[in-house]
Parts: sequence; C-alpha cells; structure tokens
Amino acid sequence: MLILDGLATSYGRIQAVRHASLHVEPGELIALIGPNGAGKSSLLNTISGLLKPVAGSVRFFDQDITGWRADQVARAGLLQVPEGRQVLGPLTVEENLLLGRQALAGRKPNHQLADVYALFPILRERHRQKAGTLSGGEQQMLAIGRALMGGPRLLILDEPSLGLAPIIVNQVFEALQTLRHSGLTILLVEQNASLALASSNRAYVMEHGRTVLEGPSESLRHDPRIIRHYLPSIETTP
Amino acid sequence: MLAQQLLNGLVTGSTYALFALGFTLVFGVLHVLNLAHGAIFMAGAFAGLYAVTAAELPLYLAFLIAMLSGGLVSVAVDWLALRPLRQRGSSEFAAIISSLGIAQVLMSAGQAISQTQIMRFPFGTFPVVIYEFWGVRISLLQAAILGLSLLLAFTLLLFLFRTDFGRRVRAVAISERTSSLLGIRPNIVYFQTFFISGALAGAAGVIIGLAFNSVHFLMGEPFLLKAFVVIVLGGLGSIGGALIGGVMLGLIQTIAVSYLSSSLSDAIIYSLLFCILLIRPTGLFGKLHIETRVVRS
Repeated sequence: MLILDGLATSYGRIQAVRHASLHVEPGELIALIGPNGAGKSSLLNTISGLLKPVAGSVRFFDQDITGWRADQVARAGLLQVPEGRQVLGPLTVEENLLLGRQALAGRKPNHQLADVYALFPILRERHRQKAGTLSGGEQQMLAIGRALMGGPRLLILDEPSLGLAPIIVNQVFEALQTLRHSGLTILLVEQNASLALASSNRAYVMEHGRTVLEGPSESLRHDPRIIRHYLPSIETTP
Repeated sequence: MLAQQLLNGLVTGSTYALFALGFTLVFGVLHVLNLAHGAIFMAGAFAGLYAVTAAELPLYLAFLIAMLSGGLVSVAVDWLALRPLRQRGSSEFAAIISSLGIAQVLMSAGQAISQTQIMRFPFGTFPVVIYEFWGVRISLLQAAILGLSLLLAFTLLLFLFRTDFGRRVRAVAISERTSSLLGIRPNIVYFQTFFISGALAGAAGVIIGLAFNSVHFLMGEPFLLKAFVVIVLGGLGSIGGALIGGVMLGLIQTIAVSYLSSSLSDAIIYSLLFCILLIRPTGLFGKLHIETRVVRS
C-alpha cells in the first residue's frame, strides 16, 4: 500500500535522507529503527509532505503522492502521529479529537469518538480538559486518537515512546496491538529497538539516511549486527 | 447627566470594538499587526456609501455590499502584501511594513476616488428617531450600533468556538504544521480569516460612517490607533477582550471629555494605557504569556 523508492530529502545543504526504499503491505505493523540522526523522522516527514523530496518517489495505494502537501497526504488517509505528540494545547481534548475528522474529506470514518474513548478511557474522563494540561502519556493517547478520527488507511507514528514512563509505554503499545488486530496498518519509528522489534512483524534499519537492512522482526532480533548495535541489553544477558 | 454620558460612551466604545474585532482576529490567527485594517475599513465605508448615493440601493443592501467589499479588499491585501512574505518565512516586522505600504496605496486610491472630499450618507438614510427613557436619550442609530456590535461579536465567537470552521481557525492559529498534518490547508484558513476580518471592517465602516456622518479616505487612521489601545487593553488576539476593551475605551474617553477637557482626552487615554502596560504587560485580560493566540476571553 505504501512504496518508497530511493527517497531523498535535504534541509538546505544537509542531506537528511539519502536513499530510503521500503514497502508496507495491508495489515502489517512495520518498525523503522536506527540511531539518533539516522534520518528516520525526516523520512516520515517526507512521506507526510512536511518536507519535499529531492529524489525518489512515494506511492500510496494506486497514487503517486511524491511532493504532495501535508494536508493532501493526510486527506488521502496517510496520517502521522508526530514526534512530541503536538496536541493543540489550548483546545480541549474533545476539540482535538473532533479536529481529527478534518482528514476524512468524504472518506468513511473507521473510528468514531466513542471508539477512541473505548480505546483510551482516560480521554473520556478528561474530554473537557485543555489538551495542554494532560500528562505526556495522555497526550500521546490523544494524538493517536486524533489521527484515528481521520479514518487512517495507514497510521505512521514518530517515536511514540519518547519521554514516557515504562508503564505508559506499555499501555500505548498495547493500544497499537489492538489497532493492528482490528486491521489497521501501522508504520512505527522507534528508538527503543527491542520494543519496536517485539511489537512489529517486519522492520527496517536506517543508518546515515539509508535503509540498510530489512527483515522479519523476529529474525532481526536474533541478527548479531542488530544485537550488537541496537539491543545492548540482550547482548549482556546470557 | 452621568447616565447619558455613560450611554454615549458605550456607543462610541462599541464602534471601537467593532473596528478592533477584525484587527484582533488577524492578529490572533496570523500574529501579524495588519496596519491596512484602517484602509480596508475605509474601502468598506466607501463601497457602502457609493451603494447608497450612486446606485441608490437601500441601506441593508449597502451594508452587505460594504461587508463583501471589505472582505475582498482584505483578502487582496493578504494576497499581495502578506502571503508572499509568509511563504518566504519573513519576520513579522516585514509584514507590518508591507501592510503599512498597501494601506498607503489604498488610501491614495480612496483620495483619488473621493477627490479628497468628506462625503456623507444622504439625510434620511437612517431614520432619525430618538427615544427617551428616564431622562436618557438614545437614538435609533445608537441602539443599532450597540446591537450590531454585540451581534457581530457574538456571531464571531459562536463561529470560532462552536463550529468545525472555528476549530480549524484556532488549530492553525496554534500550529500551522500540526494543522496540516490533520488535513487542514492553512492557506484556506488564512484566506477565510482575512475575509471575515475585512467583512467586519466593512460593516464597521458603514456604521461609523453613519454615526459620525462622515466618510473620507483618512477615516480609518484614528480608529487604527484606537484599536491598538483596545486590543492592548483587552489582551492581544482576544475576541471578548476587544469588545470589553472597546467599551472601556469609549467610556473613559467620553467621561474624560465631559468632566475634564476634550483636548486632554487623548492624553488621558494614552497615559492610562501606559499605566496599564506597566502593571499588566499582557493587557487587562491577556494571558500571562508572550505567545498570543485566538482566545475567547
């Protein structure tokens, strides 16, 4: 459903993404891992239309969406939950969720307000509260819920575990599993490689702006190169 | 006597508020001081006046034409003077200079069209009816000014805080980037914001043109200066604050004129503004943070 072919992006003279190729099939949960500064977020932002590619192409279903504006990409059903949540702080929780519907653009919703509240009951409790007053974990849930309201055909998440307490991270990832079992396709960028590989079915590794390795998450978890560079905790445990 | 002065102040204040509404809306959404707002207001007043004098249309139609013209001129101002700067990521200061420049162009055009004349709505455009309650006199025009200012302010609040459209505007005011990830096209929201701001200015143009019985190419400038005071009093970007700030300014001014001295009234207003800024740098109703966004109160 999503095919990136040789995608490249620069910020001025710095090439953040040099050559990224990957594909996502319906029903998959794909993880994209790699060190800080490998270009993972830049890659997501290029897919989402926040950055303009200098080379390569992005195909989404039967459309070439290379170089589309961010709002067009969102309305096509490719929705990003941005790094750092980016909830609209002065607006209430419910207003944030209702704004999620802007991406529908006539497409059929696959999540209603009630579904989001069922997935994250805390949001129902806080629905009249300003989004800026929520905890980091609650904001992450709100950001995911807001994207769900836009009827995603593919949900991409940028570092959903960033800055969250482990117990909250577990809650968020359980929700992602629930969503995946309900048939949602997910592309996940995550620095926490062991968590990302444990929750995905397939993964890509990105280094220096290139997608360098790809494979089923289960086998990547046992790949010595991955263990050495990304899973130090597993290496030290016998 | 005092009751009469308070009423007059209230009416004057609501004209200030009406003018300031569109000004504060653009500031709240785009964080730009649109110094062409006075010229847009003048353009709306001209359109309304010519609709009555040249086209001999009834006042309510002239009013709608003024709102439409104000909206279109305002969109054109954005398109020509502000949007190019936004796309290049220029500083907000550049937008101030650019809007000042296009204001001069509009005023020159107004001067040429009106041949530097002070124009008036023909006698009887608005029926002259005076009511008296408990010794306080209020004309139908004054009542209409009060009513319309309140109506427009509340309609604007309703739009901003109870509709999808309003949520889009407030989202873009907070973050253009996040809004675009949600499927909102910021340029459309800017376009709509400028149209509404200009339509409000056009409405204010006709009402103030009627109230002061004068329409001329410089009519926007004193109001622009007052609008600064109003939105600083009320809090930058605050819709409710513009209403309260406008009324406060009208009351202070009227009382200063009637009990102290008419020549001192501006000096009193600006001294007061100075004192308020010393005590509350974000305005009486402004939130205590530097970033300003569209807010309700």
